[in-house]
Amino acid sequence: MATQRRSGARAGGTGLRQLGDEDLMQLVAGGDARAFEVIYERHCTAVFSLAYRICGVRAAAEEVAQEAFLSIWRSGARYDRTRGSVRTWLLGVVHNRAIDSLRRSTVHDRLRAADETAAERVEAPERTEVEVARRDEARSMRAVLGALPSEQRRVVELAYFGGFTHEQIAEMLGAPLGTVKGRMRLALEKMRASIEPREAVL
Amino acid sequence: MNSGLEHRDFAESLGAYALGALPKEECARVREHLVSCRECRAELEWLRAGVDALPASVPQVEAPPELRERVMQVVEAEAELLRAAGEAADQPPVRRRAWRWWPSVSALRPSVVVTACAAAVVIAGAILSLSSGVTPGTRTVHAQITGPARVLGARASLRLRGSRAELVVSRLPTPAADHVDELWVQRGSAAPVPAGTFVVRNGAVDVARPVRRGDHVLVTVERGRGARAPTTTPFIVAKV
Repeated sequence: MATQRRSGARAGGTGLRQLGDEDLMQLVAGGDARAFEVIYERHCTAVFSLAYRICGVRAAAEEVAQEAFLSIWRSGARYDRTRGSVRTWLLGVVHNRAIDSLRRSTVHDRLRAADETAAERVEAPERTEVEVARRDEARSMRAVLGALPSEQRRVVELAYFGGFTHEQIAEMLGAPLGTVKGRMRLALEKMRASIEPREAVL
Repeated sequence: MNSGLEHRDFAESLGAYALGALPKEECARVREHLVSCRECRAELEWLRAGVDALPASVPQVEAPPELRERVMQVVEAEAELLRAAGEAADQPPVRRRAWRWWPSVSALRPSVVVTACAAAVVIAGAILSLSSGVTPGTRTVHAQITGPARVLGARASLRLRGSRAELVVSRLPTPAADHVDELWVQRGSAAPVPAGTFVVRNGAVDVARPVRRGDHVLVTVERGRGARAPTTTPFIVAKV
């Protein structure tokens, strides 16, 4: 992963840009808007992409992303570096808010959100080396997902991107509850095993 | 044991739990079980890495510029309120202007950096203090820290034994991804010479060049695996 280096970026001074996310969050907790702006720049694409993938509508995705960023700004003091990276924490907040938003929408919308092809057509052009790297990462992670047996991939997508419970998924697929739980677990185990070597690099 | 359920039942639900796919009551039961079951906690941590990778599979879509405007408008307004509230605000003290003089990377030219190094050395020379060594033949020199590292409470000192030096740091900010901290030794007004790179939050780092009295040991943040000449202003300066 490289640092964000978009031209025309306005956030903070060189010193802030050279800090890792965890240290920036310490400054954010103290109310430093410039430190927060660096966090925003580094993660806005990932945040908006996840929100858009789940909500499927730009306006809703913008609302979710805005709520998530403001929540991070206001609760920065609650970030605990021992419990994972800032990026994982931030994307967890986005996921929860996007699923809440999705659960207020129709089942049709939720099924469309769980369909991974829905968002494929709107990828932005690659502009920076960081975005190129993220794009490559996204492609390889989709390959990992794509390599799962279709029944395992489907339950993961319905749960994570569609916000359905295992009971709803079992009913939709006409499969026993235990089978759905088993597929979820197997899928996650395989994904974890596939990404293990990648973690050292990212 | 919870509601007559066996450990095996909980273990089977961990995938659904990690994906957030359990109804509220069942979720609460699993959470309760996790408190007392180390095996399930370890298993959940393993599975969660799979869940955490899912956002990375999403096609990357550029966020609209208006989103940034809206978010930063609120953030800046609230930061202003916090500043105005001053000591009454329920926030830890942050010296916001401590690094306003810090130049942008794009503005830094080698000559500017060398001048900045020299200036930092002069300032540090006026402030540095010596303390007695802890073991015979060893002495410790406190280092001057500037910029965000200082705001974040970093500490640094130089442990000297003969011509060997070791930089001891604590609470040093971790450099951004694809960056390292780089050591330099500067003799008089000569250009600083590289003396090793490191990424250490707390600990000791060898200065990979001999030093002598009057030298300055500097630390800058550099991209990739380090630079041949400083490209940023030193944020740690110690006089030998």
